[in-house]
Parts: sequence; structure tokens; C-alpha cells
Amino acid sequence: MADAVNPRTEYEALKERASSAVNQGRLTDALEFFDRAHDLASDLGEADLEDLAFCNRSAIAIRLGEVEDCVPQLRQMLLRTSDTQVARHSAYNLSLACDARKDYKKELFYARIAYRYSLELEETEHEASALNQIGNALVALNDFQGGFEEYRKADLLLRGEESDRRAVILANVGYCCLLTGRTEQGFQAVIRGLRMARRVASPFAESLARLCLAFAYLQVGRPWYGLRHGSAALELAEQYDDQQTMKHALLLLGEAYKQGGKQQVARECFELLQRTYYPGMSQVPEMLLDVDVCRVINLRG
Amino acid sequence: MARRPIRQVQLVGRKIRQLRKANDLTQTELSSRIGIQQSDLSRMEKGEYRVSLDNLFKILAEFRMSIGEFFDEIAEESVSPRDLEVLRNYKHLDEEAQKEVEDFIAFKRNQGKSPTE
Repeated sequence: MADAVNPRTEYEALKERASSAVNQGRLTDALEFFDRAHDLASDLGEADLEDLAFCNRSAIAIRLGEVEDCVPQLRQMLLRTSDTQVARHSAYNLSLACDARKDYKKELFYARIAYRYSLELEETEHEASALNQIGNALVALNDFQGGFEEYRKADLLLRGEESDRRAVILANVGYCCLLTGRTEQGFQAVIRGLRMARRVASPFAESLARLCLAFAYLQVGRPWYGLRHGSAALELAEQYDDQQTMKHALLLLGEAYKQGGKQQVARECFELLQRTYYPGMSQVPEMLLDVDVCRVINLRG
Repeated sequence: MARRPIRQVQLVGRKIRQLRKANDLTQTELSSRIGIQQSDLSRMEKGEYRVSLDNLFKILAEFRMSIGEFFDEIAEESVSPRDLEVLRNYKHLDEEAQKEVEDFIAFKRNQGKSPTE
């Protein structure tokens, strides 16, 4: 007689496969695995498990741009649940959704809720994720020193850990240092983040770190290094269709060519940026050629 | 008395304020049209705020201004007397000489900056 597959075991296996897909940048595959896990959780009839499964899939859906489908259910979940884990997860996902909507004050609000719940759970990795999310919101709101402090707290919590999560946090620490005049410290943190991202083979973390490093090199007038890292960031972001990173990578590539004296190539980068993301604004390339955009733009805004 | 250098972010903010006033808009009105907080717009105008790329284009679209004109005016304020003198001299050169100057500038910028890949 064949052994029946334990639904709980299958659920956990699907979660593992989804997490692995996320780490490799295969977000669509991850969503499919989390969808199947969610269906299994519903069949099991455990409300909290079903809620957690929905939170897992909605985190990926939000990253893929399917924000509006998830938000109402996440909000309801946060209000009705008595399970701390579900509350933490739904608050965290709402924070991600608000970031996607560019509603940074609400992002901050939900990230702080997620942080409080993670403290109750005493789960270091989730505390760090929530602190990182608080930092993201603060940086988007132009509070770079505040963002730095939150990112630093997150990094200290994960001391000794080698992970994509920590690689991203290190890159974020570095970005804030660059924006608050601590250039050397910024470079050190971003390079540490990049090296960690490569060791753990996380294309998402690597693209973010390379984007920060490109920005850093442009800040100190080293355009060809900026070009190298900006190109790599673009290539990685294209692998998992991260439009935000692609947009900013194109911007920094244009800046690199401009700084390096290749005005025509810079113009072509900016024209591609304009055609792709700002249709109907054909004056954009000219504007970008005339101004040191790195000095006025917030890449996290 | 020497001019204090003006940070580019302050120039952009100042320009946004000028355009807003020239269009007879309050901060509340403009921020509402763009879809940002009034407090953020206030900080932008003071040069205390790094603008997102999206918001900068929204602002310019709101004023329906040529982006080149927007930054031409900023460039004038950020150019020093020495820069202007160089530009005047450059403009007096013939086309071939201007090309030589441009090539020399590109050469100097590239000098010692290209890493071995």
C-alpha cells in the first residue's frame, strides 16, 4: 500500500521550494509554490496556518506588483487575528504594499507594528526585517540619519549571519552613509554587502548592492567603476524584472557615461530611461545631461 | 565678497518655489496636484529634500515647462564668474578650435579614471 503524502509535510516542502525560488530571483515560480501551499493550508482547515500561507504568497505578489489584490485581506487579517505571528506577518506585508504604493508614512506605521510584534515573538530575523523596513520608509521620507540608525540596529541583530537579508541591510547602511557624508564608511558597508550577496548567491541582494556601489563611485567621480557596477545591477534586475532597480540603474549608467565624457552614450541611456518609464516627456534626456542628478535625487524615493 | 556655493539640491528647491509662485499656487494646491504631502513640498523648496525621479518629473509636468529651461535657469545661478569667462572665450573660437577644446576636456576627464577591466 502506498504511503499517503502528509499534507503538512507537503505544505512545508512547498514553502521550502518557494523560499529557494525567491533566493534565486524566480519570483513567479515562488508565487506558484506559495499558491499551492496556500491551497493545502486551506484544505488542512487550520485558520492561522491558512493566514500565514496567505501572508507568504502575498509578500511575493506585492513584489510582483499585485498590490491591490492583497491589501484588503491583509488589513482584515491584522484587525481580527489573535495570533502574534499572523499579526506580525500581515503588518509587515502591509508595509511592503505601502512602499509599492509610495505611501511611505503608512509604510513606516505598519513596519513599526510589525517590529513590535516581532519583539513579542523574540524572533531576531523578523526583528531585523522589520527594522530594515522602518529604515526603508525613513530613507524614502528623506530621514537618512534615522534610516541609518534603523539599518544599523538590524545589522547588529544579525551579527555573524551570512544571508541575503543581511547583505541587503549592509547595502542600505552604506547608502545612508553616502548620503550623510560618511563616504569611506559607506563604501565599506556596501562592499561588505556585495561580497555577502555573492557568497550566498542572491541576485536580488547583489543587484541592490551593485546599484549602491555604482552610486558611491559616481559620488566620488570614478565613473568607470560606476559603469561596471551599474551595468551588473541592470543585468541582474532584468533577470527577475525588478523595474525599480532597472530604472535607477539606467539613470546611473547615463550619469557614468556623462561623467566619463561620453555624452552621446549618456544621452542614449537617458533616452531609453525616458522611453521606457516616462513616455511623453521627451525633454527628460536633455535635463539629465545638464544636471548632476546624483546630487538631487533620492534613489529610494 | 565671494559668493557662497549653493548646493544643487537647494537650487532645484528654489526653482520649484519660484515656479509655484509664478503660477499663483499655494504649497497645498501644488502638493495636492502632484500627490505629495505639503510638508514634503515645503522641504523640497528649502533644499532639504532629495527628490524622487518620479516626483521631479511630476512637478515639471505640472508647470508644463521645458525641462531644459528649468535647468538652464539653475545652471545660470550655479555658474561662477570664472566659468562664465571661460565660456565667453570658448564662444569666440572657431568651430575647429571649439572641437579641440572639447576633445581636450574629454581627454583630461578620462585621464587616470579608466580602470583596467
